[in-house]
Order: sequence, then C-alpha cells, then structure tokens
Amino acid sequence: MTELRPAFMRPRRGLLDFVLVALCLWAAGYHTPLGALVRSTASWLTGVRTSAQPLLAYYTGGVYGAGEAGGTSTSVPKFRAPPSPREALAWGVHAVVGEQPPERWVVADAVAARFGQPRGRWREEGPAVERTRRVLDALVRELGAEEAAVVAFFYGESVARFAVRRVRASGEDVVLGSLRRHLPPGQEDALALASRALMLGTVFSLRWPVVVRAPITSPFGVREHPVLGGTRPHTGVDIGLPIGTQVRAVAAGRVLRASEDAVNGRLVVLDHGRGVTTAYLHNSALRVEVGDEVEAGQVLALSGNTGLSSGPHLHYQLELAGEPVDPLRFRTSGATVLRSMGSDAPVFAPHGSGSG
Amino acid sequence: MQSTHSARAGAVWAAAVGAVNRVSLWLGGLRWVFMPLGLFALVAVGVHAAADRVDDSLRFVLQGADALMDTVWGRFAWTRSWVDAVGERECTRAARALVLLWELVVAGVMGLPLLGYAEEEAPGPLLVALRRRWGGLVKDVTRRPTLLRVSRPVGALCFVLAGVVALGQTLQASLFHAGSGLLGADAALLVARLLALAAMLGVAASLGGRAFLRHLQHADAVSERDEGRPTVARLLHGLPATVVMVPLAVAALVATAPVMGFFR
Repeated sequence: MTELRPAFMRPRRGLLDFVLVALCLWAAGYHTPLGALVRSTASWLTGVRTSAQPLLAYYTGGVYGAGEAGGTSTSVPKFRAPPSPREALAWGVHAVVGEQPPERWVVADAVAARFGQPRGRWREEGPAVERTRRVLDALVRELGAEEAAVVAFFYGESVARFAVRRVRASGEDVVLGSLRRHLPPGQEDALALASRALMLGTVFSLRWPVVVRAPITSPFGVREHPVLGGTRPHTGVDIGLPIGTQVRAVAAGRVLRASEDAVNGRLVVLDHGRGVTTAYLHNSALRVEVGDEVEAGQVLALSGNTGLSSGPHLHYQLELAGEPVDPLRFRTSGATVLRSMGSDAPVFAPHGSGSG
Repeated sequence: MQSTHSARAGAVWAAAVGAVNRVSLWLGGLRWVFMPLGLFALVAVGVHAAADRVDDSLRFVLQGADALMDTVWGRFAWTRSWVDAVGERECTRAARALVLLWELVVAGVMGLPLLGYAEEEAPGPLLVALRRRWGGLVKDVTRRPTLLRVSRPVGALCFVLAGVVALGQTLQASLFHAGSGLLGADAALLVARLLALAAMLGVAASLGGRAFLRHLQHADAVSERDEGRPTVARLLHGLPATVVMVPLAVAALVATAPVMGFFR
C-alpha cells in the first residue's frame, strides 16, 4: 500500500462544519481581544452600540470597565461609624444602580421585588440603602457569596444562580473572575457595573491606616515637592506620625509588595481585590512579607522617616482600578483624623513637618 | 385520509431534507473560506482562556521586579527619579499589556499555520484514506522527532481543549439565559447543557482534530525543509516560539480543568 501525501479530504457537504465554525467565530468575538477589537471597529463604522468596550478597558488597566469609579460622578457616603463590609457593599450597589438611567433598573427592580421590596420605589424612598442591604443579605444567603449577589443585581437572579452552580461544579472560588466565564456574552456592560459596585463596596469599607489622631501634612494632588523641589503630583496623603506608630491594613488583602528603596523607604502595598490597592510608605520597620494574607486592622509596619522624607510621616496611597485617588475623598469615617474645631475637613499641617 | 396526510408529511419532509442538502452542498463549496477561519478562531479562544489565567501571576512577578529595580535606582542620585516612574498602576498596566502581547504572539504562532489549511477530493473510504494519509506523519513524530513535530501539535491540542471548554461555557450560559424565561430554569439548564455538550463534542472532533493534524502537517513540512541543515539547528528550529508558547499551553490545560465540572 503506497502512503499518500498527507492532505485534508474535502467532504462535499459543509452545513455541520459551517455551524461549528460559526460557533467558534461567535465565541472568538466575545472571548478574545481581537474579537473585541473587531466588534469595536464594526461599532465605530456602523454606529451600532457594542458591549466590547469593557473587555478592552480591562487591558488598558480598568477592572472590567469599572475604571471610572474614581471619577467625580460617584457620591461618597459619610458614615458616623465605620460601616460593616456588607453595609459598604450595599452603598456600592445603591450608588451604581442609582447612576443608571431608569430603563436599566429593570433587572435590579425584579431582584428587589423578589425579596419583598416595592418594585421601582425601593431605590428612591425611605431607607433605600437599608433595603438594598436586606436584598443583598437575602441573596448572599441563597447564593452563598457576596460577588454572586452583586452579579444578581445586574444580570438577574437566575443568571447569577446558574453561574454559581457552574463555578461550584468546576471546583473554583465564587468570585467575579470565575463567575464571568459563566455569564452570558453580550452583556459586558452589566459586568462592568457589577465590577464597579464591588469596587465601591470595598473602598467604602476601608478603615484609616492609623488609629491615633494625626494631622494630614500634605494632601493629594499637585504640589511643590518638599525634598526634590519642583511641581509634582502627590499620589496619596501624608499623615504626620511619631516614628514607631503602628500602621494597619485598611481592609483585608494580600501583600503585593514589602520592600525598601531610597525614595519610598520601607513600603508595603496591599491588594484588596476588586480593583482596590493601598500603599504605605516611609515606614521604619515592616511586619509583613510578600504574599501574606492580612486581616483588616492587622499591623503592617511601624511608621518612620525612611526614604526621601522631610520628617516622620506615613504616605498613604489608595488606587482604584490602577488610578490613584484621594484617600480623604473615600474616608467614610472621620473619627481617626484630626478635625479643626467641629469642621469635617482634616487639619493640614505646613510642609516640612513630615512629608515626602 | 390518513394516508393522504402521511403522504403530505412525507413530501414536506423530503422537500426539507432536499433544501438542507442543497444548502449543505453549497456551503461545501465555501469550505476553503470558513474552515481556516474557524480553526484560527478556536485556537484564539483557547489561547485567550490560557492568558486569562496568568495575568495576575504576571502582575505579582512585575511587582517583585519593580521592587528590586527600585532598590537599585534609589542608590544613585541621578536615577532616583526613576523609582516613582513605575508604580502599582504601571505594573498592572504593564502586566496586562504583556499578557495581551503574549496572547497575540501565541495566537499568531499557533493560529497562522491554520490559515494555510486546504482540502482535496477524498479518494475512497474516509477511514482508510485517513490512515494511509496521516499514519506516516504521526509515526514521524517518534521516528524523526524535531522540536516542531512535537511541540506544535501538542500545543495545538492544549489550546483546542481550552477553546472547546470556553466555547462550551459561553454557549451554555447563552442558551440558559435565552431559554430560562421560556422553559423554566431546570429545563433550560438541561437543554443548555445538552446542546453545549453536543457543540463541544462536534467542535472537538471536527475542528479540534483538523487543528491538530494541520499543525502536524505544517511542522512536518518545515522539518522536511530543514533536512539539509546541521542537526542541532534542525532539531531546535522554532525554539523561541516554543519557549513563548509552552507556559501558555500549560495554562491552557489549567483552563480545561472545569471540563469535568461540566458533567456535574
């Protein structure tokens, strides 16, 4: 028997293969950056709206399109006492739902109605956030995970329940990253909203990194650098502290970085998940190592005057979806920051009294 | 009366089958267009599923590298300003940009040969022809191994599996979403699982098999062209692309782990 040249044989028919190929192209359209690029380009050419943007936004540093959360549109609640993580999450969901046009409320309304809240009015009347929290509590009890409960608000309960079942069957953790693989394609904007609600919920629950009263010696924003001179952006706030003050984790997270250099001194960077990271610079001693999982309030370091610094202080930095934001804007409780005579504004000490 | 009805039904059925046959034959003439595109798309989906698993790890690695470099830059006055040039934001963006670049490179390496897919008329029974045509090529992987002959078909298999799983998950979610309002959650779930499973098996058998064999064919053609070259050069042809591809192929296997959950 002679061996033929290896080549593919051509069947006369092509319907079944055509259907299978169409499925592959459809999946590629929703699953690959190339597909998202093609959809975005087609949308630009035809003027038809596409959901491709959040996938591309992820590659440019966003968290599934949630990057605008640090923008000015988000109203930040003020709490008398630090909120519980669930309460903060309810605020996050409430804020994101409220920012949507009324025609986008249908899914969240249906979810709220299922748990006894007045359809259409639960967002607007009376203790709206309390109602959101009650719905969230009920969803968490039924779905078994906060992230799934938030997904239910934007995709609908049955879709979230389905995704939770599939994630559990796959043996994965029920988090947004695994849930999104089981969410229907073409609704990436809902994924962006869920992602944003989770991010806001996390940032609203952040504590302050020191428990002592301490002045803000240099605020967030463009400033004259106290050591190097010249105008530079200051990507966090400087908190004047005596050397050796305990610096604590503002929320649970994983230590992304614990290192030392001549500019930032001894520093710790925490990843709190959901697009939220915090950094603590100029410490005298570190108490954690890279990869450690830390609890909220756990001591990370002792404050100091290391690196380029004009005096003992802690540089505290908050980033949302990779963008530095003013931590004071998201300071939901002012109890631990020195206030001036009954005002809500923190006291700003002059430069040179601990900044860098 | 009964026989008139059944005759009519038979005629309608025959007409429908005839129409499907005609469409199928017409599409058969277009296979040269859509088959290469489908193979490329399947592998691209698999590569993306793999890349999706590595971006966080890469960010962690880049943070470590940045911390190390900051220690060095901070030592000298003239490099001190470089320390703040890269922070968390830059590390995150760099990690995602690198993963995107990695994904595009691997999609190119593993996908472009698939665009060279071509078919010929089949002589005789399919299975006999299949064995006669491809048997020698499969044997050459062990008889005359080269890096290309081993790595490319195996890599293709990894990405095909990851692509099939990702396709199944997406299809299942879409079908459930579309059907739950109509059929109820339980029935929609059953229908979605069955149809997704059928699609996965169909894609794996038809396109997955072709992607694997096309890479075997391509690797063999390149290795045959290398015959006159020095042994080491011949054996290690394609090393850089393989080094870039292998970690993602491993991640692709990790991405296929949920396939067992499909049956639970």
